[in-house]
Amino acid sequence: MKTDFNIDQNTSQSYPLSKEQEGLWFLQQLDPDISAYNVVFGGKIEGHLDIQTLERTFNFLIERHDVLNTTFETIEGKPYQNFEKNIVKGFDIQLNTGVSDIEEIVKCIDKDTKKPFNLSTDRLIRANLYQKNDQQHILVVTAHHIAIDLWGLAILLNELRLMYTAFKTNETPQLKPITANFRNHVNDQKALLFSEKGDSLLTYWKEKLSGELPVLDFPIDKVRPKLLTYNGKVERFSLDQELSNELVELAKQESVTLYMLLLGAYRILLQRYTNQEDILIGVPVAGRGKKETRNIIGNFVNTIVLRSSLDTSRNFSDFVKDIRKDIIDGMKHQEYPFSELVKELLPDRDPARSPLIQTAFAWERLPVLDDVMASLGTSQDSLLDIELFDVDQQEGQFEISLEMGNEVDGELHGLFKYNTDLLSSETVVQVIQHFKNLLRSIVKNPELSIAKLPILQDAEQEEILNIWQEKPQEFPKFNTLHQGFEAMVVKNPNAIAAVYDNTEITYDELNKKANALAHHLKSLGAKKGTLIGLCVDRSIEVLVGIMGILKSGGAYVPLDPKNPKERLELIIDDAKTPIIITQGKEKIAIVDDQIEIVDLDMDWPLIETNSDENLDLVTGKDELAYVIYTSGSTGKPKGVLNTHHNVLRLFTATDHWYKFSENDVWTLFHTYAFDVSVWEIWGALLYGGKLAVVSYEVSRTPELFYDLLVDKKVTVLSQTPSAFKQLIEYEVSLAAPKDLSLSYVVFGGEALDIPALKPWVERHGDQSPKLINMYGITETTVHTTYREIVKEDLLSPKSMVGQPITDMKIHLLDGELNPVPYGVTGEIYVGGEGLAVKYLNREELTAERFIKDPYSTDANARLYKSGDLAQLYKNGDLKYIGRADTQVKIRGFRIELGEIQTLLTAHPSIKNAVVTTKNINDNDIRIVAYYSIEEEKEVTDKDLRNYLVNRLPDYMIPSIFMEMESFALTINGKIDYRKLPMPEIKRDDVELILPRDVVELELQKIWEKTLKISPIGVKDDFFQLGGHSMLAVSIMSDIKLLFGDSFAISVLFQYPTIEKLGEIIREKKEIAKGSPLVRLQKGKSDKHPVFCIHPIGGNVFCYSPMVESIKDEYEIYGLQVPYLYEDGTPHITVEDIATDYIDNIKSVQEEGPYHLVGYCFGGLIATEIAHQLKEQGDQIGTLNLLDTRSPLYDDAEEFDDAILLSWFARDLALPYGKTLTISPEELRECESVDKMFELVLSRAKNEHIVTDDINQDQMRRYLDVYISNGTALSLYEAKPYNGRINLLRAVHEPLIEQIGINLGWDRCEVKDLKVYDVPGNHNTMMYNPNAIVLAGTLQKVLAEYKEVETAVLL
Amino acid sequence: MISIKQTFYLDHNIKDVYEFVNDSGNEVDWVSSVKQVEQLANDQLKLLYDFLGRKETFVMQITTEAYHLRKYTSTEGVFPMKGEQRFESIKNGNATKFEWYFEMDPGKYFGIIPLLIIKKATEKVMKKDGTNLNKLISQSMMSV
Repeated sequence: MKTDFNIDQNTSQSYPLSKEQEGLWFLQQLDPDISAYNVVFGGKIEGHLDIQTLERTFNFLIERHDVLNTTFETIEGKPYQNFEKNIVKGFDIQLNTGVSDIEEIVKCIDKDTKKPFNLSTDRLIRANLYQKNDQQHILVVTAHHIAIDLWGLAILLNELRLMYTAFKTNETPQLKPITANFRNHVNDQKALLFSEKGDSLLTYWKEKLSGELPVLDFPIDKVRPKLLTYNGKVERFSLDQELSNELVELAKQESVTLYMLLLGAYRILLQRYTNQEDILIGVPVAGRGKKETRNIIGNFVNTIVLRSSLDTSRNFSDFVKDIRKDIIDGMKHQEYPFSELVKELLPDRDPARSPLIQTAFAWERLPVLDDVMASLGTSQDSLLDIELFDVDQQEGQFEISLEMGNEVDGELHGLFKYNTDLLSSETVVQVIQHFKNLLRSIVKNPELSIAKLPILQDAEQEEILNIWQEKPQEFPKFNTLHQGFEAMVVKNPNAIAAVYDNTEITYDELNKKANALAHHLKSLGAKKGTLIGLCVDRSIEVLVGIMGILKSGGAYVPLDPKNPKERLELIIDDAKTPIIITQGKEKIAIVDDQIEIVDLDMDWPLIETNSDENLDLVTGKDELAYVIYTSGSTGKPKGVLNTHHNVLRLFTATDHWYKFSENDVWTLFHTYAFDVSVWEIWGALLYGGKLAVVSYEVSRTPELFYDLLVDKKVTVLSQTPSAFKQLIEYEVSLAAPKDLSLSYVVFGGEALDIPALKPWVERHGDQSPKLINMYGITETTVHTTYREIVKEDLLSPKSMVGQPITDMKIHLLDGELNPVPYGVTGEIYVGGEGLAVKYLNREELTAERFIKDPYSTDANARLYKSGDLAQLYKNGDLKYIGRADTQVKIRGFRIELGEIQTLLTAHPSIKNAVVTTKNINDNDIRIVAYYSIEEEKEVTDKDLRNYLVNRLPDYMIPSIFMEMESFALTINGKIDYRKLPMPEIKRDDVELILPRDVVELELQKIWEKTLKISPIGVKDDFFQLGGHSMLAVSIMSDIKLLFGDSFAISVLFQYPTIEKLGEIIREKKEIAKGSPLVRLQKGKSDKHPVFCIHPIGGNVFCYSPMVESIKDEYEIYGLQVPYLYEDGTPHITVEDIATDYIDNIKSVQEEGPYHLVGYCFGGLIATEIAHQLKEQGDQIGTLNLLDTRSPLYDDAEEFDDAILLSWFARDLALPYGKTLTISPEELRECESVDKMFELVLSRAKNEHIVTDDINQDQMRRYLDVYISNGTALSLYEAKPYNGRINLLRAVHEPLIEQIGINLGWDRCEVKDLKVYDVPGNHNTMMYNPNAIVLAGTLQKVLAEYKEVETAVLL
Repeated sequence: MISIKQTFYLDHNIKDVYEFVNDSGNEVDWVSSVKQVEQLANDQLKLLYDFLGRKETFVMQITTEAYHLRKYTSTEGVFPMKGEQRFESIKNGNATKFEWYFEMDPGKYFGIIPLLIIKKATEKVMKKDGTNLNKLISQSMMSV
């Protein structure tokens, strides 16, 4: 029970708000322009109207009901209402005489009623009068819901008529006495909340609304705004008398009220549109249970939440009884304020959705309103003859809501209110139609199971089933794929059929090699339908193998050697391939010695002794061409059997779109174990085109693949959206796109995030190349639909897949195999010529998935139940939604999560496992494995990952593993997926160690950007952080861009931490062999780069925080001593350093003006660089010294090794914002210099200033650079500078009188010295938050220079 | 052991150059690592050097061949060092070729500082000093 109860102790005029008022007040504060809570009444007034009397009447009523004259104010952050601080101004009726046309009047009413109220200053009621003529008026009363509800409006209306008449006749009005006021309600409500009854009510609702609360998933037409909006409209409807009567009768028959029956029907309608069994519906209740509240005006309305479980196998009669019970129970507990309930339940807040409920059902038949309405327009006693005039109001409060209760002439009237930012009126009109159909179905057969109640009309169903007009079909000219190829051989034998690296093969050569192989296979027993394994690396041999197998009459079974051997063995065992073609026997471990191995390398001398002539085998079109294995839920992959015809007709059926030709160049980008390869191979070879076979490494390295597209002049590119995204990112990193020859980019394999194509379309437009999205599955032969993506599509996140290709058909069906309405999610069932034969050795699964087509006149017609979900639009466009089952598509691969789960559960240490997907970040879907461990067993995530890596392809390896003590179960005893926690990215017990040099820092930035996690430590494991192979591709691509080195993806498996990856990058040395240049930031403009020169120690790491805060239009380079990481002799004079650095600076910027920045000692180098550049005739843009002392100041103090090493330790730590203090005295206690050095090394490791595995040589290099820099510093002498120096001075650095506040530069004959103060001391100025100011100051200096430069140019 | 030989061409006649270099009073001005000089008896100089963070006193025995050669050899100090400065008149007597040879064996005197750096630093200092010499002689002539 709440304990801080204190009823109405206010002695002032300010009173607390009721809970309903609080909610409305808060909403109005959030968005003062909301008009969704304006309550409106409209009435037509016939005859003479005395407007002055009407105003007098309103004034009287406002005085009588002080709630209408209330203002709201905030006291100490809490809202209060003041009933006595009356608005003194008289009530004015806004008269509008300018319009007479009813449509114009309706527009005006809409505008006037949607004006928001200011709760602090406005009177909460206003009236507009629209004068058509002297005898015809429309009166519209608008009030804020915080002051009045519909019941109160009826009271107001009734009293308005009575008082108007009384004033006109000078009679005493017969008004009911007011015995209570709204303050009583506020107090009563407060008392309730602090009572045992209040507790009991709350307990009821908490129990009713326990567990995961559903969020309405009503299909919307528009892009959902990020923040909740309240813009709405209304669609009205009526049910004819017959249906209305039938509903009334049915309600009687079922012993429920009409209200309950219609609410039940609405509940079913929502289930049909959302496929949700669990839905929350808001139901407003009048809240005037107490007799004394019935004559007063105020807002008493509360909302209760209806949550009825819906088992669609039950019939309506049973279901509506559940509704009855739920409603009665809910009504018994209606007093608990909804807004308080939301606070108690704390549902997950989504700023785009209203809390707890997103739909409502309102029954607007209030007893008081009935009385008033009955008397409207009929009363002989009133001089104010008002007839109801419907005005739309309170729309947009919910996504969609239904109001019923009104009945006119025996017809039930209703209206749907909807949010216009989500739904179109066309959709709501359809919803109304389906609601009517559903009601007809219910009254026709209330005993029918709910799932079977039709909501579509026959005509509508016909239209949906036949939305894609059948098009004239062309049939393939050939029976087999190799016949089609042979025709191209005859047509142009010397044309290049394929190219791999620099190896080319002509059509004739490929044909002859394939023929020889086919003859050989036949000699080994291959015949029609023989399944022959193919296990070769990506190369031209893939084509020789496939073509040879097909020509021998067999069908190929891809065995990609990149897959784990265990998986290949499963496939071989299932397919029982008597022959396997390979290239190097080690690729595959064959246990069955009955299998004939054909080694294309070793056995080729024998193979080529066979004839190279075409075989005369007659193969029918329905012979098998290949068996491609996809993930299977039982833990084993399943083989899909496809025929020659399946593939040939794919090209015939799409030819009218693509018109492929011999001029086309395709890539074989995908593994031949993925069916997109079928499209790639035959798209080239059936048309006489050229196929560029892409190596695995190139396919995983966007920049190499991009170059291949350019070099090979590729015209047709097939990509999964994930892979193409990498390509876009790479191209965007280029200053300008290279010369591509693409005509088509064809997407397939996974849902396309269309807005992600924006950077591409901005560069290439949408016509050259054309961007085509094709939905498809292995069981329907690669592609099933076609949709051209155009610029306008980029505005919507919908994944549109278009329409079925000519000889295919698609139905979107519900669980009862009934078509779903337009816009409603249904499962994709595919029929047509592309359907595969079956699953190999899986008859039961075949029967389950390949079903008889219930809508075809052909008795043999089949449909494939895809498990994919989609929505159909009225224009015939399909929108892909996702998967209906546990199968997922990640990066184009179909994955049965069950397969992973079965394998994981088979691990001896695993007690239970669940594998699912989670959306980690924006559209970043990861596979997550949750597991519990057997007692007394131990297993780590790493163990499990390694266990799966040996058994599954990399795309199936969960990116996150989460150990669970136990799993929450549903009431049915199944694991409750909804209660699986959001995965945590684990660091295990690894301490967060931040980067220690530029290489690690750059790697950290790349990792954080790619993995969307921050911060990441240098010892964190890539895979523990949720990394997967596609993210590895992205990381390696960025490494290539930044460091210039290409690494295979597998490197990340070997070196999964930033620290280890950093080592091999440094070892490769190509990054900076002898070059001091390090790119700290890639610029996005043509502004001149900024060069930052290292301080003493040679490392530019200290610039990182500053660079982070500099706008990325500047390209920023660091100049660091290359000998930090490689052997060599560092320069020991500033002059030599400067000369060297100028050479490197000019390698990226040939001509001035140059912008130079130097921190500490780096400032001296920058100054010397400026000197030398000027001597060479170059222009200096800006020379910026970051707290650099002038060389006039010579504080050379004597030092020995202990002092030197003490300084070295101090300065080694500084760039990382750390402190490493080792006193000379402590060092002197060491028995030798070597021991001193070891001590420094050991302390630096402990502080994570250097990597754990740093060796003495590397540390020695650091020291040598340090000494060299120190020597250079001591040898450098000041010289006059004929230009401007910007000195950014650390204001908190103690003043050294000898050097002065300008650090000695004012005594160095500098022509123009400009001093800027920046916060921090000499060290802390480089770290945040000071670095932000430093960056800002530097940008200011750079911007000023730009302005001056521009002015000079002008 | 470090040995360095450098040659400078000075725009002054051999007399001016030799006299400037051989004047121990100029040592502090033109040899940048020398901070103090004290003339001792028997053509000996006591010199305080400041180089690479170390300050150390050496006593040098000076031997000369007028207008031709000046030699110095340490007789006291933490490590042995010696030098030779040869003067040759060129350009019809209007300029001087000045050859400077220097040798030292610091052993572990500079501790952790690598010998290579010591050598390079010495080279740079000598080069700078020799280059400055021209200017300093001009200034001394003007003051005279």
